[in-house]
Amino acid sequence: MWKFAWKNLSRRKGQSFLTILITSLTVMVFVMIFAFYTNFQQGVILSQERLGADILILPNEASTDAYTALYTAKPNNIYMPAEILDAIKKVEGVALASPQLFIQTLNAGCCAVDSETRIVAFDMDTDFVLQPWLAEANLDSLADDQIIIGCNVPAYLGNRVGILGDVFRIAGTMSPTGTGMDETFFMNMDVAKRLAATNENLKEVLPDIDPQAVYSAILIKVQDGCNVADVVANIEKADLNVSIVATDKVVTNMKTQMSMIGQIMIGLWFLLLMVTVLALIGRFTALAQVRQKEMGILRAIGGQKSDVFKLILFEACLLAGIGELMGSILGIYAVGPLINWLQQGFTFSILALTPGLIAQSLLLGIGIAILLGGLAALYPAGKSARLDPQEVIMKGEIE
Amino acid sequence: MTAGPDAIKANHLLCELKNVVKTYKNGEIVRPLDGVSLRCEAGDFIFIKGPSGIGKSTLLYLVGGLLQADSGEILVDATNLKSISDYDLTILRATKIGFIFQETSLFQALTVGENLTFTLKIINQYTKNKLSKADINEKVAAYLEKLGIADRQDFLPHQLSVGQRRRLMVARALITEPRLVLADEPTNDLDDFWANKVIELLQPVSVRGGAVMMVAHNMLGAERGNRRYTLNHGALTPQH
Ligand SMILES: Nc1ncnc2c1ncn2[C@@H]1O[C@H](COP(=O)(O)OP(=O)(O)OP(=O)(O)O)[C@@H](O)[C@H]1O
Ligand SMILES: [Mg+2]
Repeated sequence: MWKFAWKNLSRRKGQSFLTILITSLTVMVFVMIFAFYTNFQQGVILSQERLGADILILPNEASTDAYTALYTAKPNNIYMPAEILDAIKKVEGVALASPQLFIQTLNAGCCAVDSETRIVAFDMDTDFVLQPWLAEANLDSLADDQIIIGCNVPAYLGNRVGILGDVFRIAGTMSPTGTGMDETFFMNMDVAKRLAATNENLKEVLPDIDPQAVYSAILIKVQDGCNVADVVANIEKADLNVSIVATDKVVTNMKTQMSMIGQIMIGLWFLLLMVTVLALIGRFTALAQVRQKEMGILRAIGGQKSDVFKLILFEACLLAGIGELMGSILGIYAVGPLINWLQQGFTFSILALTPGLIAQSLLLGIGIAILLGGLAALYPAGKSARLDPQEVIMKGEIE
Repeated sequence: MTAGPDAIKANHLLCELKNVVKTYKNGEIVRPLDGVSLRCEAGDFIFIKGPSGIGKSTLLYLVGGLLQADSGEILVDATNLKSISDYDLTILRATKIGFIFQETSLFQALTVGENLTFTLKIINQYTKNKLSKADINEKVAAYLEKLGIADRQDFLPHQLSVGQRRRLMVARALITEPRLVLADEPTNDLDDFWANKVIELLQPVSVRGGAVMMVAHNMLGAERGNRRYTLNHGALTPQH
């Protein structure tokens, strides 16, 4: 019966084509949205995990844009006095506090990095955020002429890169995080301070700043069992004139937004599904109509009602299956450009497609196709099975 | 299917119609059959003649279980068609009846050979002695040969001439070796040679212990019939 179904379709290419087109377009949209959304969501979750800090202390002026601080790589040259670190360390509930200093590369460079890229300098002694990354790159510590680069930083000059007049060896590339970290250089605090103090051009960008006495951010890990909100309250009490960002809150906000977008998407999905099912019901009913006479013959030569039912359903599922394959492939191809395009409008970068995600999308596509094909063919299949053989055999000639 | 020991039994009643009435009620009421009775025994070649539109096809559809009578009874091989489920009726149709339709009734997506193979595969579901793939191919080849369309085996039905299609339909009805062949104007569209050939092919069915019920609007093949009737005004009249 499978063979018969297959021949019915392959020898009626014109009619099969439209059905396949409808299914594949729908599946394509589904797969694209799914791949995009999952990707997006994973980016948010990853950012949280990989940020590793519970609380982020930023200079008060920077408070306006916690998202930017967390997710983008835009250089922002706002600083707070270094003494704040000591004050923070004393706050109850703070387990670890590690400072970071943000500086940047400059456009001026003639033979080096020539766009403005953020440099994050971290303190090897207290750092707890980048350690896992170092470990992953098989490094205990970073030598003074070594840097780590985010995964989206293009490598210049092989494994060397010139930054603010110095040449650094690239010790490793971070795995993608989906955050601004991907477009950032990481280097030792001491080196960064020296660069900031000596590079004349950078001094111009950072007037009135003593790089030795400032930090850009302090990352805090709270003690086990401590409530982040309580620690935030404790820091507030210390009245340090800083802005305090609980990272989980930022991520939670992101997630809320995500889930709203998600709901809208699911709503649209559902509508699309309905429209497609209706279109396919129309298609399959028309196809079944044309085939009425043959179904009558099938019954006449010994095919059961259930055979007719199965045949129509088989054919529908075959068509939908082909449509799903094409749609999934198209969708996966199309989602890359879509992500790239959307990335421009969002504050954070998004991960690349992984094989796992592709497999998931394919599975989803198959699910949808079976749902579509099956649902849409049920009615015409049932109707064809109930037809009166004599009537359709006689009638067949007229249609 | 005709090979069973009871197949050869003389006077075995293969089909019986008792006072069958059939009315079509869409729009104008038409009653092509109004109390038709007929007995068809093993070995019979029943020839029924009647003008166009009188109810000949209707009669065959009723016997083939493709249409239901308003009243009266139809028995095929001692089974009252009314008393069995649609499922069993389908099996009966598949295993005991070969229907040569008046109108083209082929699977358009299957080739000439595949149309026959497919039919045998369907029958295979219902029989104990299943035909092997080789058996099927052999049979298909033999019937294509008999009906002179062996060289068209891989053609699709729409690539055949009208007469070739009719011969294919004859092959499809006979290839299952049914007890009862219902032939609805099987010689239409055929030249004298093939018309006679087809009637000749129908013959062994009755000789082997099966029976043929053939309807036509002309007398072609009438001489083969051991019993001849005319259908008119809803009733069968014997002819001699
Ligand atoms: N489905 C139907 N609905 C209504 N009337 C029908 C239907 N099928 C057949 N009839 C009518 O029943 C009558 C007998 O039809 P039938 O097909 O049995 O004639 P026939 O003797 O086979 O004719 P022909 O020699 O032209 O094939 C016709 O007058 C036809 O109009
Ligand atoms: Mg007729």
